[in-house]
Amino acid sequence: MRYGTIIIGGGLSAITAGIALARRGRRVAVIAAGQPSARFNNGAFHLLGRFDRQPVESPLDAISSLAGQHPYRLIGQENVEKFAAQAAAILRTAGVNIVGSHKRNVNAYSPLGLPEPAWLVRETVLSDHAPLPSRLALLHIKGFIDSPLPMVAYHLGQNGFQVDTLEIDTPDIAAARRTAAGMRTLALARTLGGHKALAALHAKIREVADPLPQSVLLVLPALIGIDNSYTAQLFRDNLGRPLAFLPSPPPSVLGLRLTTELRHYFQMLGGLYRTNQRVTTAHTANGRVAYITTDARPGMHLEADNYILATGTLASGGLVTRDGAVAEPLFNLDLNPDGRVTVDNNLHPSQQGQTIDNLYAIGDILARDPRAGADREGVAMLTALHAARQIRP
Amino acid sequence: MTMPELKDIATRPAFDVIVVGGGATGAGVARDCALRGLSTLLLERDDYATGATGRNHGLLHSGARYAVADRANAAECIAENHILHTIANHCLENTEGLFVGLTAEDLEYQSVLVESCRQAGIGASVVTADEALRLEPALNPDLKGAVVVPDATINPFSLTHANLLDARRHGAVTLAGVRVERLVVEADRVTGVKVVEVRSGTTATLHAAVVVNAAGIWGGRLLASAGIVLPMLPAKGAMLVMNGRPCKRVVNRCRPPGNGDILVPDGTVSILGTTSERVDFDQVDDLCVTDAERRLLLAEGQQLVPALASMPIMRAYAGVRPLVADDSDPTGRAVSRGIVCLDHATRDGIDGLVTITGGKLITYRLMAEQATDLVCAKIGLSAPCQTATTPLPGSETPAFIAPRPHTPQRRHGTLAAQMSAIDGDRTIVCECEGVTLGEIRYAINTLGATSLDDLRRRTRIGMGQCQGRQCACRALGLIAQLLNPESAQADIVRFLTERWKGIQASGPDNALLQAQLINDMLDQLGVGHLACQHQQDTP
Ligand SMILES: Cc1cc2nc3c(=O)[nH]c(=O)nc-3n(C[C@H](O)[C@H](O)[C@H](O)COP(=O)(O)OP(=O)(O)OC[C@H]3O[C@@H](n4cnc5c(N)ncnc54)[C@H](O)[C@@H]3O)c2cc1C
Repeated sequence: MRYGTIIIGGGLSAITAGIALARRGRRVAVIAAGQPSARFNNGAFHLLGRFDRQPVESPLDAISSLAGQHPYRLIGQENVEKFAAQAAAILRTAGVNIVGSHKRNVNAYSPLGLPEPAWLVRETVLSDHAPLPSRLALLHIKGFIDSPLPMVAYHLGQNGFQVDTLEIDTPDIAAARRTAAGMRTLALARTLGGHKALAALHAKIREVADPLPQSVLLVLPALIGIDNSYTAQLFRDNLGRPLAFLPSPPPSVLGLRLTTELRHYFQMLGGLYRTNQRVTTAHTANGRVAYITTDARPGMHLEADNYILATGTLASGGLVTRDGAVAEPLFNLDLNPDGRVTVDNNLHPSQQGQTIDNLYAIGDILARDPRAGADREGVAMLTALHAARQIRP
Repeated sequence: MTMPELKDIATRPAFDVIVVGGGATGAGVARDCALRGLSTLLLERDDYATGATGRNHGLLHSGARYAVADRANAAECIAENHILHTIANHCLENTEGLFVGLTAEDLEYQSVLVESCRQAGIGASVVTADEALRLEPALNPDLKGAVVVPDATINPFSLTHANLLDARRHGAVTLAGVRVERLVVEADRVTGVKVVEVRSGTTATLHAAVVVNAAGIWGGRLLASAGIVLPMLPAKGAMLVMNGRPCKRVVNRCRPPGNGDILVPDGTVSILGTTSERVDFDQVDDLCVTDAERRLLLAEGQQLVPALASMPIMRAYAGVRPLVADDSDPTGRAVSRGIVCLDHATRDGIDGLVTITGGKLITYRLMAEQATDLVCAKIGLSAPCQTATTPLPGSETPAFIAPRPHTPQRRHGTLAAQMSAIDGDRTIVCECEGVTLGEIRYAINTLGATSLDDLRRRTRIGMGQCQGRQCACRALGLIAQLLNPESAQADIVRFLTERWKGIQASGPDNALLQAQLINDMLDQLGVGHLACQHQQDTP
């Protein structure tokens, strides 16, 4: 089997690289072992949200303070700006309804109700991309505990909002409450996803919020629209009064939706997406990757002109530990003292000092600057675009 | 129901008894005193069961471990073992135990062991190597023989809280987060205690006819405040939580007690322990398991159960045995065996004060009985002890079928029935341990939990495979709702820091992975910057 490019890994960086290549007509396959990390996404995308734990206002200005090994320094300031705009465009085309810009961070509210500096945020998610009213009403789905709403109310209160909490209950919610697992985020989202359940919820919210002034912003846990952003938008627009969604902790509706949106877009572009296949061996010769094999058909050599490694950290198995030391299991790539893969300006990693010319490493697996915080999605997408741009027919 | 606070108590007239220390022993004393009609106050500086009680091996000894070297101790164990099977059936799992011989020397010890058990009244039956492997296929296949004994396992948290609950039902007041600063002595008599409420800094002086020192290893310091010298010898023991249950039964090495020679199953995990090392007193509040201890435990444990070699370690923890120097040894180096129950009127000429320490978790009831007998004698009350026959709350009905692990029934016995009263109570909060919303509500309202860590001790939330990554956030919301949000905010970081300490000691491989997983979670909650903080701040 021969491909133009094989991308190893199924997370945000892998799929972004896949989309960028497929858009230019390259023959590209993504091979994903397990659950993609994008399902952890909470509706916000971070380019550079914090430096030395302090919030960053303008990410581009802060890049020059980063250590030389941080991917943004390798890519270069100019490219960061260019790729950030491209990444936002890709998300929009995939149907991810984002707002924001790389020039200035907005505050996106986390599942705990804390403002966190973000580059992009879904337009329906609670953030200050447009001025927020001073009064909010949290809609508490009775018995739903995956979103810690009392905590959220407290944090929002501390940030200067006047916060009311309104309880919402419908027959569908009550039925879910009587079971052990019916109130889990995704289970409840599926229950509420049906036409009748959604209509009942809609009516209930209108009724409960009716006594409140129109200016009050209603805040509902993000339980609407597992597979597309359109449902959530419609739900809000038809309410006739302002509503924003609050992300819930993973596994979340927003995370699952992002995975679905990106994968569909990639497949629409003709990309090949293989899940539940683990790349088990990789063979290199003369500074190039010759072929890889997977656990699905161990005897079959998968060959490509180029390979992209986007397997993530210890959490996703892209890195492993052996007797307290971190290692990269597929290629045994060179790591920095923090246990992350080091690459050159073109994102080529090395094996015992020898650069591998047809291999690129992108995303979470890369060396960083420990002082940089909230930069995950940016690193994932920008390194993906940088790698993709270098791959020519 | 809200728990009383120090300010509610400070204005009350003197109590009959003040018990210092909310471990199993103090809880047992408070219950016994309350059952005998004494007005009782228990004071715990931290949360209940945070001393040795919350950091031990959880073995409900049959006494076989002590049968050879200390027959009296062994007889005490088997008697209390039988009693706990009736009064505390929801706190224990009747696993049985095996003493496994691997060498010719072990086999020699085996015959002495069996004879000693017979004399102490402990049922011990020899099985062949083949039979032993049929009972427990994960044992070392080269074993030479084994003995089956009535060992079992016990949940110290359930046990302590059942005692506290019953004490409160009988009128006792129990306060956590109140530290006794010193004893108040007037004319050769202890008349009360000076206390401080840790959270607020409020101080008060509380009076009682008798004060019982059940402060474990910290009791020596308490006595010193009354000018009494009781040398305590802290002995640290380390344990590893292994992520698996290769054996159904408790497995002991058949030889004189030593390091790493017991594997105690606990639900779906197993606890490998322990070690014994004298430590300085200034270390007892900040214990960590060292690399050397971890390696030692694994090396010994693997000999018994080879599968432990490749089993992941979830976390590690250590406790301190409250050993007391033997009064009869002038060098102060010999340890007194068994229960230490002191009447300081006869020992030191100071009346109104009783110390109860030494012993074991599983002899807590007998210790409480002895201390309460002394208290009653001092007060001039003749009331018989009922604790050997009166079941604890939760164990009112005989255990016909052992409840499944990871259920509220397993932790609270019959009381679990009241935890699904409200609509929605059945919602699972912690998947790993099967903790329900109703159980959380109960732990807060009836058992006085005020933080995530308190909840962990009362319900096992966050103790399972995910180590709290999945459930911490949900529990946090509930704490904010049922208690107050200010404390909840600081709580998640504190909780994860605690977990992180135990994870770090589990070995570098697991520690690196868990650190990554915890950081990922905190990132998604928008508090990623706090994560690096707690991990860097932990030495
Ligand atoms: C490693 C190890 C393994 C063990 N394994 C087993 C086993 O398998 N089976 C068994 O039966 N036993 C076992 N034990 C023994 C058992 O843990 C202890 O004997 C028992 O828990 C002692 O309980 P306690 O209540 O006396 O002491 P603790 O549980 O230590 O209680 C003392 C309490 O007093 C409080 N306190 C101290 N000072 C003050 C103050 N000034 N004011 C207010 N409160 C104060 C402390 O916070 C603490 O909560 C083990 C012990 C260790 C260390």
